[in-house]
Amino acid sequence: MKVIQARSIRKVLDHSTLILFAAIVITFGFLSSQFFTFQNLSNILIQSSSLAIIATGMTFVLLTAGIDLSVGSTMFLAGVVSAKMVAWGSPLWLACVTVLLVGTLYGLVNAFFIYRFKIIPFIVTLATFYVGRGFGLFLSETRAMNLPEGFLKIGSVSILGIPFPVLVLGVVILSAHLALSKTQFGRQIYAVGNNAEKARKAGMPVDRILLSVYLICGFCAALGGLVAIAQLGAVSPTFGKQSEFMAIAAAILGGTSLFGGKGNVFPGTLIGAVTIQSIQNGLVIVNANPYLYPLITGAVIFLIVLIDSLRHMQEVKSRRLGASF
Amino acid sequence: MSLLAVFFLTSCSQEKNGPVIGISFETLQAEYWVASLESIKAECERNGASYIESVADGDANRQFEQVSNFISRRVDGIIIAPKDAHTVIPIIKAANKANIPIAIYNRVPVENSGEYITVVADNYEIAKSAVDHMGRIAREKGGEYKAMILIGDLGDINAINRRKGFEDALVEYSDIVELVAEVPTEWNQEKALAGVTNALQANPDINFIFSSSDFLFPSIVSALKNLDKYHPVGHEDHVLLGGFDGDAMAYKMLMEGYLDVDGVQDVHFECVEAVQSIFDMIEGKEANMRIRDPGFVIHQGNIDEFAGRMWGADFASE
Amino acid sequence: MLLELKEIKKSFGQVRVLKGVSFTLEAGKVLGLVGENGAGKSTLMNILGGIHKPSSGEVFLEGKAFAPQGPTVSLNSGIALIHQELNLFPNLTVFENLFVKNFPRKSVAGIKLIDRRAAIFRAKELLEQVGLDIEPDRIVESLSPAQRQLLEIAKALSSSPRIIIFDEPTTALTRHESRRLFSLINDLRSNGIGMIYISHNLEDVISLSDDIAVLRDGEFINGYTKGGGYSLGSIIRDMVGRDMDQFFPDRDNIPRTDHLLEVKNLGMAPIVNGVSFVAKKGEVLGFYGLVGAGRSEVARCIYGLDSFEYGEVLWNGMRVKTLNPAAWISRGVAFLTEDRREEGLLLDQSIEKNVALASLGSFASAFLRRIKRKDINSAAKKKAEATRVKCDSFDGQATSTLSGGNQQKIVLAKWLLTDPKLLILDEPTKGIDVGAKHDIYELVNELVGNGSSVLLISSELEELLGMCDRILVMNRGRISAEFAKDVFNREAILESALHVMEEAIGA
Repeated sequence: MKVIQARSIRKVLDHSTLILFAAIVITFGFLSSQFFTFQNLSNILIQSSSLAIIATGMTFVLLTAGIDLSVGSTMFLAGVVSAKMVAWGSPLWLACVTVLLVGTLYGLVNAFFIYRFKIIPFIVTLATFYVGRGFGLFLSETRAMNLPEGFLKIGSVSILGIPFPVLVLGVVILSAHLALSKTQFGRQIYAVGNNAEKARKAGMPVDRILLSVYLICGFCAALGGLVAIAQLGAVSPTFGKQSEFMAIAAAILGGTSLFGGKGNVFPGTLIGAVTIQSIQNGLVIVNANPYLYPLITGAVIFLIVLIDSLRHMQEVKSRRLGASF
Repeated sequence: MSLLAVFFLTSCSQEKNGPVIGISFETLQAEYWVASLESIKAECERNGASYIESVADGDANRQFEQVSNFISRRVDGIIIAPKDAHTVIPIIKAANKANIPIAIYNRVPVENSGEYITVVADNYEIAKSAVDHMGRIAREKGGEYKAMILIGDLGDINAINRRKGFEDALVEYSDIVELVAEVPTEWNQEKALAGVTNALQANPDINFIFSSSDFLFPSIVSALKNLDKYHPVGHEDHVLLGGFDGDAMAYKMLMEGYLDVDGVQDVHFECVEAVQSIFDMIEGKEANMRIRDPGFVIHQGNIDEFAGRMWGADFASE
Repeated sequence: MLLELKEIKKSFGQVRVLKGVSFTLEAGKVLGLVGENGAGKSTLMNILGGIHKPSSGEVFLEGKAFAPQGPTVSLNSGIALIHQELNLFPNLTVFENLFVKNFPRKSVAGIKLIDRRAAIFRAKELLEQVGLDIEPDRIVESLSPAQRQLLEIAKALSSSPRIIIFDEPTTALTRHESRRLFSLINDLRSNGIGMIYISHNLEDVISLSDDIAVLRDGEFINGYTKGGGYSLGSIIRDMVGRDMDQFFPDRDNIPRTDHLLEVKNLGMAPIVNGVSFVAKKGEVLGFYGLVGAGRSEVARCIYGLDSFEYGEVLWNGMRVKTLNPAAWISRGVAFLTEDRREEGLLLDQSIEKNVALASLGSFASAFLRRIKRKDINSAAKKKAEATRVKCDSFDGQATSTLSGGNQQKIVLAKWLLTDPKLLILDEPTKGIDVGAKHDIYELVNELVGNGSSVLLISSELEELLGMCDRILVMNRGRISAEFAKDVFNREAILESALHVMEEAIGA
């Protein structure tokens, strides 16, 4: 009896991502006929793309039981660098490539301090979070920077009827999903996240894996930043602020565990990001009271973390029983 | 790390004769703050004073320590843009105790105790007159209007006052303007973009948009462009646009004929008055302790007269 | 000669774990390695596995000097370890666990992807070899402990090793599963693979091994060869040794008859299965058993560190409702946990601060509950001196700079300062030197002399024999036997701890 009950709880927890997503979508569908239009769903997907790309990078880091608080700053830095370069007359493509390099480099800095000096990721990325924003503010002299029309065009163009941001998102999700589920590197990420010490004992290149996930996260943050800028056409000094929390929330909402070793990009993180954007979208569509927004967002984040920790408790329990014999 | 930053920022004092003013800003993460700081510094120099500046990066505690440092260095006056209306109280007390005149820039302390100068733009009035002007334009043109407002951070008293000014101004035009969308942005451009897009999706007939801050205009413009709704004033599909602040983007949009109305905080006026009052106090003269910036509303009809007074004009020209 | 160890020594800090061990292993032979807990078996194994490096001595693999720089080197050289503590990733599937180090791969558009079909095919072969009938794509989390143990063995086989080291492979297995493992070991033997088999189950070791090596206190004591004439009794004698008799200080008080702590039918399946016992006032009650027999878990349940499913606890004859460490401390019960580094000490703080930690409440002033620093510091210092801690300074030296034995004394001093009515000691002398052990025994005697009681959990039988008024033996979560001081019998105690349950109950 007890076992059956535990199992059904487990099942609900395991599928909480989809259940929550369905509940939110259906609720808004009831509240407004506008919600389920093709154009609106497409809007949600476009609006999710930047967040989902950043959250994809974050998922890699979270899978190793790490965290990267610097992604918002990386986005901002990416935005500032690209705006500066374009202002100096560099072609768009060069600015984009440079920005992606900057993002990856930023990930390298994180990884370097984490694995060379064994400082915990929270502290390292908290420091680079400040440094990144500070440096970006310094470069931009705290001015909002407007980008040339060309940038906005990239953001609004469609290829084969698919909006460009969604296309980028698709490529990112697909390659991340392949990397995580179909390559040795990907499976080793899960192993390291479950127990880095065991992974080291088993002879896996733990340090190299940790290094890679922060590189990937930095790259994704820069790419996500570019996708957002291409839609905004401008970079303000607050650009990317709190994106780290939204990215973490999206990943956790998608079933990735803060404790490492559990989760996936597809469908997990993608649904997580879309869920968050659906809430924002739905609230605007039904013209909700502005004070409701933080309440609902807070409640959802609380729910996510609660679910994660319930899942983890179940796991620890079963692990204890398993290991004790 | 941040300690280092504070060192950097506080180390640029200049040894001159004449009074020394300590300037502490909560943040520099908006053009508006940069413009204010530059203006205050210029005004100090013009009056033959030197200054020490520091930025607290949004940390109320750090700001308190920075002001304490000013006091222990025996500055002659303090100008502070505080983190919020509560945490500034102990700072005022400390300055009063040390008998150093203090001016609070841009926020009103919650509690009216102690001696201090306040400098605030009347967010409510400026927003109200700007929106009122939008309403007048709407009535002149005729027709029905569906309105949207972009609200700032709900924890920011200025955002709240601007929203209130907007709502109160619309009362008079309730026969022709209907408020259909209130989009909270948390002062975040991405949220603003998504919010405007979503609101336009739900209400494609929105043709009256007020932004609680000019820096959200790139989001509005981008959303409008995507729907092919961004046209200059006079075009038949033009969406009536109003803003608040007077930044460079708004200046450009005004000059290019896309923006109808902007409520402007008179940064130059505020800074001149603040520095003047501090000097009056230092010299023992009677000072204006409650400086209210009435601001001004700029629109297509008075550009020539007022454009030069927009603080954003300086940024736009660069 | 497949493998040869010559004079292997290993120290961790000041603790000498291996004091010069030599033996050889031939291809197609099984070497049984036996010894009490802490005799150095696991360390030896970790040296072969490339996890530790020996302090001195040499290893030869097929005649060539072998000094692995890491686990991968060992594995690639053909040495596979099967740890008692399973090295599996429960969040991955069965086949992923088998190949996580080296998947079969195929190239798709220049990208190397896991060849899932090949991996599952190979996994099925390996699983069949160890007689494990499960789908290769099951998540390991959902496997039973026995299935996990067999999977670990299959994983070792996947690297086609020449030497396999088993560390207690049968603890999670039923008798039936064990027999299947033994037939697998026999198959491997006939394929020319050399194996080292470490187990407390001496009957298994005797029936499996071609040679047996006995370790005690990090030294090689004796070696036996199949057919060379030996018995279970002679091996146990070698394991235990006999030269410790006068080591334990005398204690002349007699336990009183009234019950201090009573535990009735305590259970947390499958680790603790219905444990009942009584601790009397002024008594030292010992708990003996193998690792995993449930000794520590019983104490942790009582103290409220783990939750239990059924049973009750009585304190001075009254049923205890709130089981948590704070409540126990206020009743005068202290628990010195096994892992002093994690749970018992603030390593970067001074000795004085650490000793004072648990008694802060009783040194608080009546007014405002302010801590009386001076009083507590002098009391802490006195108590620390009584334990004969060797240190430079009581208030200036971080405890992390002390040796293990001295750290343990500080933890003990901390609890002694609270004047406990009952002190629970979990492996109080693990890994510390002889002199420090003696000091700790004397402190325990002093405490009991003042009318307090002690629950002493230990893997060292000598220690229990020397210190306890009664010994309870635990086996697979149950109390399998009880011995009073006047009828202590080494062999009988060992046997009731080692034997499988059915036989132990009958004994």
